[in-house]
Amino acid sequence: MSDNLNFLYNDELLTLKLRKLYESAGFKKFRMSKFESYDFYARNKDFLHGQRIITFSDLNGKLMALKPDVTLSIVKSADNAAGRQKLYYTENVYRESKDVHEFKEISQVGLEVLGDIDLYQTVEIIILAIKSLLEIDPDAILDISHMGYTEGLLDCLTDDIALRAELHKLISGKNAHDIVKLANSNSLPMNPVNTAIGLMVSKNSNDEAIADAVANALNARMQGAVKEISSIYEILKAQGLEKHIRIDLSVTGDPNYYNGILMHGYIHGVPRDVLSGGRYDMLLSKMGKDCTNAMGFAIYFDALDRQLHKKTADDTPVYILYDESSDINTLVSLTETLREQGTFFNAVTSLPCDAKSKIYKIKGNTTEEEEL
Amino acid sequence: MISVALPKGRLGNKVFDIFAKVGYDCDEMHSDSRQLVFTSEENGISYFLVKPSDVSIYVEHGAADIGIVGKDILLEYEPDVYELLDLGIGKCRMCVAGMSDFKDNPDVALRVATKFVNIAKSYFKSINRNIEIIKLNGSIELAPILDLSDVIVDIVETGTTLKENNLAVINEFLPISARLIANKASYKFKTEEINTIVTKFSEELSK
Repeated sequence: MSDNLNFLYNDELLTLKLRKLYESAGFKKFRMSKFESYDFYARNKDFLHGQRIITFSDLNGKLMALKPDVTLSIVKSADNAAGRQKLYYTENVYRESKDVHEFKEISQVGLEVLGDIDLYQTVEIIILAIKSLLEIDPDAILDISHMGYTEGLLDCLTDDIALRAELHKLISGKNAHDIVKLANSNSLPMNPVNTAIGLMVSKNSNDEAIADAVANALNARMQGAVKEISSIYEILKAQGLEKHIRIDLSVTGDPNYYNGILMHGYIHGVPRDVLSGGRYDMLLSKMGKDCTNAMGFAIYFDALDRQLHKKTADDTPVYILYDESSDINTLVSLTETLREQGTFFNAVTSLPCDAKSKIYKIKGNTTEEEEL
Repeated sequence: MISVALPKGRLGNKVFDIFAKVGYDCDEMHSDSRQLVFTSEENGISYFLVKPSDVSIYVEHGAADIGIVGKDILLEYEPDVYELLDLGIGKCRMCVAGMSDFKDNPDVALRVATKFVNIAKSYFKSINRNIEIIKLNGSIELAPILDLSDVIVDIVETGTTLKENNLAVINEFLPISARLIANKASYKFKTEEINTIVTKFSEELSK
């Protein structure tokens, strides 16, 4: 069976493997149309981080948009009465590419759980995130953090929204020196500032990171966060997954949407995160949904493009060289035999210059084999 | 092996001297060769020298694991990297400067010539001043002299060029120094090596 899949490109193969992984854990495929009313995205533009959107008018003159995101559509369609929903998707979204200042079609695979999310569901999502990364790189790393910890820490520092945003940026950039300057110029209390600086220092092990977080939890919010992350870590450790996890509580996200576990996945050879996600109950309440919790992640295939296409699909078919003198019945018989055997072939009248495989030359009704 | 993007010029040389001092010397760097990449297998490090404003690009895109870059570049381009250390060297100031007899007229938009469009925009926004930006790539000081702009926003080290051209600093609004940055993914996979460099650097700099 696997031999017959050699023709698949790595991205296609990866998509199929991920679908199998998610389907086998009870996730159902979410299908959606390519466009949505522009109003919907305009209302939730914060979640899209100011992404520009491709818009067009439909036949009634209504302004529509090509989808820049899948999560919003999933949340919008969430059925409160249906109980817990476990959905995954493989979709293309349309976003602005900052590098070239043009729109790009980006392939995304991801999953979301909506409804009551207990400890088991959280662990399952994290395990699926790790397993997804391991399909790409056996040494992949998943950064795990908790919004509650950094938000709790910021509660001890300031209520000023602009200052909190600045602190967020510095903490996630591991910029200890500028935090000290900012703290001095705004007369922030030094104890939580030192905790923030301690967060940025890499720990020798996840156990050390958790012990450090426990020791430095300054309020109930921080204690709650570290308790949750610690119980999740113990479960993952028992499954032998600790070497693929990095507990790094300096990783933060947008506090308007995320409120719990945060994840960022890294693989060798790609300079940015290829997976990101977390718990986003705040988005649900913003969108007026009754279901209480939501958590998920997405894998960005645009970041993986280069990595996945390093190895190409099996593109060295057997060539069949024929000309006007070749007997057409001999030629067709040969192609049918090869097809039957599952051999990939290409019948040509002249060989491509990079041909490196076996050649069948049809001369009259005889067939000659040649290895290049 | 850790790859390091160094800014060409005085700052790059100074930083390489620190690298050499703390155990990351590279013989190839001392030769006058036209090589572009210098590697020391025994010290597990390779260096390349690039235009200072390109350092963050090399690091953000993972061509270099770490790099040394001015805070001005980080603020202007906001690359998605970790900023691990303030080296406290290569110090200068981001300033607004104009002709020495310049008087601001708040009724009209201020014409600002600069290389640092984003820094200038965010500074004038913070003081609610309406501006027009004129983006230049070099010889910024010429702009007010030829009345291309009312003021300039640029880096000032000693102020000599300004003085010689009858220009004066109107406001210093941002101290700049060199920073050690790291690619986020590289940092995940080479945490220990990168942290060792950061620790050795900060020990050496605090001497």
